Amino acid sequence: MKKIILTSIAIAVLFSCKKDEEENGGGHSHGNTSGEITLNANFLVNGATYDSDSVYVDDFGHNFKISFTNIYLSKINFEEAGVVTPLPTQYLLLKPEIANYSLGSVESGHYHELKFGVGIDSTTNHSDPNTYPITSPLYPQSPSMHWTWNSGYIFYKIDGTADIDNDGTFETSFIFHIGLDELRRDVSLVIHDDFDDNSNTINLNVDLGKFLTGIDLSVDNFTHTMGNLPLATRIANNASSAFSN
Amino acid sequence: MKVFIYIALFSLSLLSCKKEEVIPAMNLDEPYELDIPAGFPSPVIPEDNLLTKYRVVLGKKLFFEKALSKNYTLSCASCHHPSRAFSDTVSLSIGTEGRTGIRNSPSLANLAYKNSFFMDGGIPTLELQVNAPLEDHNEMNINILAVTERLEKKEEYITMSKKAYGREIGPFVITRALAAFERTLISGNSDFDKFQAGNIAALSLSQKRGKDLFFSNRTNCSSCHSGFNFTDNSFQSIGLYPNYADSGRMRITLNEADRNKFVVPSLRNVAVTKPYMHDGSLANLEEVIDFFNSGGHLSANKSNLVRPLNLSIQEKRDLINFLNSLTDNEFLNNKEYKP
Repeated sequence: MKKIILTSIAIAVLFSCKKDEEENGGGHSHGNTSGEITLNANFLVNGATYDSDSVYVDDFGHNFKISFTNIYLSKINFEEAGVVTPLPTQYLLLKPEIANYSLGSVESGHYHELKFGVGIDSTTNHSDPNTYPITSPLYPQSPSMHWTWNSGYIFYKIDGTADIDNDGTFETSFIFHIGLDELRRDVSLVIHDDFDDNSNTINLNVDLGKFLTGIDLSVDNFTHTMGNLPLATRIANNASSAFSN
Repeated sequence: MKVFIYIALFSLSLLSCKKEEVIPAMNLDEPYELDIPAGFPSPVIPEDNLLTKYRVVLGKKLFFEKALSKNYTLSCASCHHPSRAFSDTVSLSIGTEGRTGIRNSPSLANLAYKNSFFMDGGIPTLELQVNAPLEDHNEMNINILAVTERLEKKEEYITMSKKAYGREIGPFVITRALAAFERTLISGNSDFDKFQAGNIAALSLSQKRGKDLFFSNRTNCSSCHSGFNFTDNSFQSIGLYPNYADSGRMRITLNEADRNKFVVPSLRNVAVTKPYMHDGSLANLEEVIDFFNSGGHLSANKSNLVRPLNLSIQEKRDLINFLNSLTDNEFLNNKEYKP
């Protein structure tokens, strides 16, 4: 009797494995492992190339500069016909000074969408940065991308100065530090791309100006999220529109 | 020239020998056995930071290390004095660049039994708590990576880190070792404890009267200051102000029901941890008892347990005398906790 049960279980396991394989590969030309996939991040402000010395204009006509930005992406996945393929690199900290980020390799084939979260998923958001290896983007950063007093990662920082009175002096600083589980936002980009065994590159435009859509820097210029949740929420609601390919 | 080189080499070898002496010789994996007082449970120790003697030694060294502050002016012990049950003497401690924060430096006694840290409970582990005072601009004001850079230039930290945790000095080791040391700061040998253990002469008559008042439904002190550590670890608003400048736990939860609430502190060693309250605004125990006797101010979420007590002068004195019986002199003078 015992033997029959064991055999049944073994068969059931075999069948379930087969089913998974069919679902994962079903209808697509996936086969061998792809070459290294690189994410090429291109930082922009309102369509123009980002530079910390360059002057940009907000929606209310104020000149501004962005002195610092870092942005976490998490749960980076491909999707094809409802099947999700996680990229080996699940977390990235995008920095303007770094253009290329390795995403690892996946099964060769066609993938329709690139999906990721802007910010950190809630499980990892409440983990301890000190426990990650030095090579991980989740390891402590300088400047810090983690709040300890209200434990969690800072999903992104956009800091700079604005010239509100238009006299040529950038007298008003703005600090946007956004975190909190509820403010993680999802991005889906149609890449419609074939990944073969050569090296592959995905271009990602990150338009910092889009984060500030509808934000009047003369009045809305400071949030560490918890201190000004309404402003942080407005910025987070802009986040998805900042990414394109 | 050759002689000079020999002298230089000889001096170097002497120096390196000296550095070696700093590192205690002990069995690296030897567990650190906590001295658990009668009536205390065993604290939960995280799997990635089991206590060994070597880890505790490294943690103590870090606790007194001034390279942990931006200007090399402060160590943890600068605001957590061992003789004050690891609290500070001032309302608001002064940071490495002269700034002050908004909250009073708490005692570190019996931290091993806490499951959230900071008066608003915003930090879930003792290990993660370490990053907060380091990075706070009003406290040490230094990134943990900058601390790492400083410590990895010191031979003793390189060696001790490898021996204690089998890895390079860095954020993991700094946070784990400090937490390991802090978990050894257990206090449970006060006159009150001796009385509880059967020595009825350990408390004076006044202290016994104060004890009865403390544990009575008339004062309700022990409704929150309960259990072996004189706290239920809940968050309460006591009506210290009609309008608080610091929203307390609401800062973390953004929930109006948490406005003005702060964690109930342990009262162990309370007589040596003045000033009192989240902001250090009450100078001594007399002021604290007078405050609770008054019933506090009407304010959002104020606990119903805080109400006018109509204590007599003698009753107030008895309560204060009882609180004095919670001082654990063995803990305050423990050489193991000093550099």
